[in-house]
Amino acid sequence: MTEDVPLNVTVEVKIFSKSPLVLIGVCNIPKSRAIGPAPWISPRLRGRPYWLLLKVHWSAEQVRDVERLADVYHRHAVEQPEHRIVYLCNTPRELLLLQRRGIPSLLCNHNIFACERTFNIDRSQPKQFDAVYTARMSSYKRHELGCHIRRLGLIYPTLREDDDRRLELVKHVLPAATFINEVEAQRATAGLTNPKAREFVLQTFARNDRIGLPATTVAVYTNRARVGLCLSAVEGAMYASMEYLLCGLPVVSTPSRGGRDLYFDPEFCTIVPPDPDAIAAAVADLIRRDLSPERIRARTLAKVMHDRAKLLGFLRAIYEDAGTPRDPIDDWRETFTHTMAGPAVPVDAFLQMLDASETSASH
Amino acid sequence: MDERAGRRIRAHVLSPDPLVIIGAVEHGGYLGPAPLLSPMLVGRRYWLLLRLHWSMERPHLLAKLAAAYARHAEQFPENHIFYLCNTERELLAFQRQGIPSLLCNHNIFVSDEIFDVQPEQPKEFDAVYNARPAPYKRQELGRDIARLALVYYVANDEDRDYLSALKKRLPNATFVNEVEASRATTRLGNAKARDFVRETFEQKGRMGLRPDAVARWYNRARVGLCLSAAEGAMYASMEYLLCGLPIVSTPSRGGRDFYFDPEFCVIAPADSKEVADAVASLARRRIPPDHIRAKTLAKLMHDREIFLRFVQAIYDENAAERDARQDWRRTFVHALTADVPLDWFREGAKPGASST
Repeated sequence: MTEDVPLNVTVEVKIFSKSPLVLIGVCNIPKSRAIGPAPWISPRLRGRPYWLLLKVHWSAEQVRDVERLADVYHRHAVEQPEHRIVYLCNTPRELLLLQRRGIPSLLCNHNIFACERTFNIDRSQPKQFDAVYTARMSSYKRHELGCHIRRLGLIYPTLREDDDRRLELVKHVLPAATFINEVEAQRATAGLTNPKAREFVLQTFARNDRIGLPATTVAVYTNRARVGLCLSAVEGAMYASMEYLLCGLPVVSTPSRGGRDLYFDPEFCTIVPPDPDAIAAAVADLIRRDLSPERIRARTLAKVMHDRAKLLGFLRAIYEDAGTPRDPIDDWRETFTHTMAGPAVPVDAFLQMLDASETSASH
Repeated sequence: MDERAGRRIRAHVLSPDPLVIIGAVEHGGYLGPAPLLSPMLVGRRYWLLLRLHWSMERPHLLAKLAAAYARHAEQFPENHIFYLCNTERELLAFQRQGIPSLLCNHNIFVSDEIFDVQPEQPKEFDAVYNARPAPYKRQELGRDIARLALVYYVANDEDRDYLSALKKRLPNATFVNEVEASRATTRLGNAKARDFVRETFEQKGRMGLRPDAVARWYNRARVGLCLSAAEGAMYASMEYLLCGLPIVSTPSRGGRDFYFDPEFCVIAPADSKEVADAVASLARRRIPPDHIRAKTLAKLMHDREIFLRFVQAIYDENAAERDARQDWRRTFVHALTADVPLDWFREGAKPGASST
């Protein structure tokens, strides 16, 4: 394993606890980051044992992907025995595949990291959309399947370079949809009376900030819809699916691989074929049923809290092994942010954050 | 003559093809039925999911289990054992040893149909304790509870002796199995015949009660007790909750608190006065049984669903056209207590069923 870490590599790591050092990161097993940030941080943290819990951000249910992961994982485990990686699997099938190859793992669907306070029922919001779809502007999200829904709201996270073309395409196939990020951008600049200044700000906003919305705004718009959509065939566990449920929205989903259905309840989550008519009909049916948002949220939250307690129990065991009297629930409260994402920063900056937090902890 | 002839083993066959078995680690073994099955099924692949009927959190026990597992895995590499851990601490310990494992508290195997709220039952006991008459169960911690019901199963002569001692120590208790035995034999007018039936019942039936009778007695109590310091995850704790009873438990190791909700489960020190006070306080609160059951059941069904998806993944890996939920419905019995003739594995299970 090389000591040289390219300067342009960024890592996304949440420092959950400093002692014992527990980090929460992300991995994408089919792609290059099968062991998450470990290749970049492990060489720099020699002599400092850590636990790295990896959220799985893309389905890891293909045997060939897990075979490849096993090679990379076991090489790292031999080279860095003090750096322990544990995979938080989104599905029981992922767990089976990883366990069979001796890779430490537990079932911990990443949707337990959705913030139940940010995403809550807001009855003051008018229901202006039949359905909302929070999804990256990427072809695997299959926005076009929503073409028969009359009032459709689209929310998209921060655009990446190659998402621009997709956005244009989606605008073309869904001419009647409301592109909520743009509505918000217009709203944010409405106070600027000088049209040139306004245009400049809007363009800069769109170019540089890639028009992502804060989670609180996503929650507001989620509450303005009657149904949440999940239309991909494969991805990770899809945080948005949990955001819908916590806001009390029923869900229409296509069959999928990745684990978003772990918290689906057939009482208010309908799985339909990837067909625009079937999807629109399922949306209409759920609206007609006028389900109680409180019931949807409560039933979902009961499972989420139960699963979150399992992760905290696992962390408690790690703490006990390390002889730490602290309760991980305190660290959870202190470090929790929606999706538990760490800041995406260069490796050096991450190490500085780690040192800084240790210095402040010692005072 | 084969000494195994006619022998039955504790194993729940969820699917014959692929062969998926749910067993249990108990009575000093560490591999459940694997030492019997694996030599018999050489050349056939099977999957064994093992519940832990005793806490494996102690390092010396886990070390023995790990050694037994490693030996077996080397000798029979085609068989797959997964341990179903009752607690997160167990899971961490197993994972650190590299032993295939998942968090699956064995209380998901309690029947939610047999154990249900029965509002028609009169609440004649302050508390009920379903536990084997054995010192580790610490029945005597219930001595300050005014109206105590004891349900039990007697596994051996040691238990029978201990039961006799308990009768002297706990004059406040109703020994439910005896009440049931009396009830069952009251119609026998001939005293000698009655004694004979009762003795036979005690000897052969080991004085165990059927789960539906146990459920009825639970429903006659206001609180369920869990008083051991260490054991497995204690099926009875889940049975209480599904019958809508709140719980008083001592601190414990083993995983029975996995489904405890602080709203209706109180952890009291291992002291008879403290236990009695906690019972009185919980009974006073009159928590709706339906609420206790519903909250518990939500977690239970979620975890059972996860388990069945895990089994389904095994089926899928074997390209089997089976539905794990259907197999569950077809084969489920409370606590998976069924046993199977060993010969079934030799002769009845379809050979060549599972390899991919």
